[in-house]
Amino acid sequence: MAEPRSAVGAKSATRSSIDILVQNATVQVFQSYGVATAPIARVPNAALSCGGSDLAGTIAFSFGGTQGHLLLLVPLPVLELTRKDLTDAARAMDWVRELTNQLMGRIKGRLLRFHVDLQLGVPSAAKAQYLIGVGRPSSHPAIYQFRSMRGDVSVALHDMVDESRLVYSGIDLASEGDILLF
Amino acid sequence: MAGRKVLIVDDSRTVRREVSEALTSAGFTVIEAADGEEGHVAFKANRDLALAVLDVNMPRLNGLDLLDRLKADPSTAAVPVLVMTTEVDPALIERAKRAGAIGWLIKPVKLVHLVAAVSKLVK
Repeated sequence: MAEPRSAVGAKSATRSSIDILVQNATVQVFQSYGVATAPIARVPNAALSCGGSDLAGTIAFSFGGTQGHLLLLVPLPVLELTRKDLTDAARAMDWVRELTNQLMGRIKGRLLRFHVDLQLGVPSAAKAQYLIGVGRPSSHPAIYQFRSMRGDVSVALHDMVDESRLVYSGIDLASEGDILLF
Repeated sequence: MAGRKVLIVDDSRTVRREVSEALTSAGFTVIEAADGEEGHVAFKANRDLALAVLDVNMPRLNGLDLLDRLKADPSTAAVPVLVMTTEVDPALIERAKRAGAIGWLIKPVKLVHLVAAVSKLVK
């Protein structure tokens, strides 16, 4: 049975802990390279789309018996705001791959505070159009979108840990930019 | 310059290049390797390394496994190793510490801080 319009609206307006965590991590990754992004309200079951110049990075993760992956889609003009030296396609591809790695690292760090220890794979990158359909057909990714001055950034999470598995630990962790000398 | 040679092992060419440029500007000689296996070869070929900076998540051989390999080999065990990664997992940090790393840097690291740390450690 179809849900009343108001119920759908209420669902999309409510952010889960994982939504908040992914949105904060993404905003902070771009912020650390001088680019402001703002989360756009999440729409359940939204489809991922991309432009011809979009690049994407992907990284697999696992937790317990669950395996999933993250996809980061970045329009080239946004990527070029993060660095001035992306003079060719190979450099841009390498950089979106590294941004994907850093985003996943931040998400993993934040999930550690909830007793979730993701095991990460090695990231890869390609033109967005080649990565957008990757994943199990039955998998409905959570899609997060972010507005920036030069275009919209998207993050798709396939098979993320279920919200009910999160138990806040309050563990004190090191942060991005920290240098720990032993 | 003797005693100022640094190896950076990271699968991101962008990261290698920016670290290399920053350390070169500070007077270091920098060698680059794109994964743990390549890093291991570079270690064996450069007996005068003053320090190495290793990423963790890399293809073929990850940074922590490379660290174990280096510390188990008397010919490379004495080279100080810094780990530079997005990982903040205390278990991994503890593993690196026990394996003999001298520090753990969490990406993104400001280059000026990285150069300061390397300069302090390589005297």
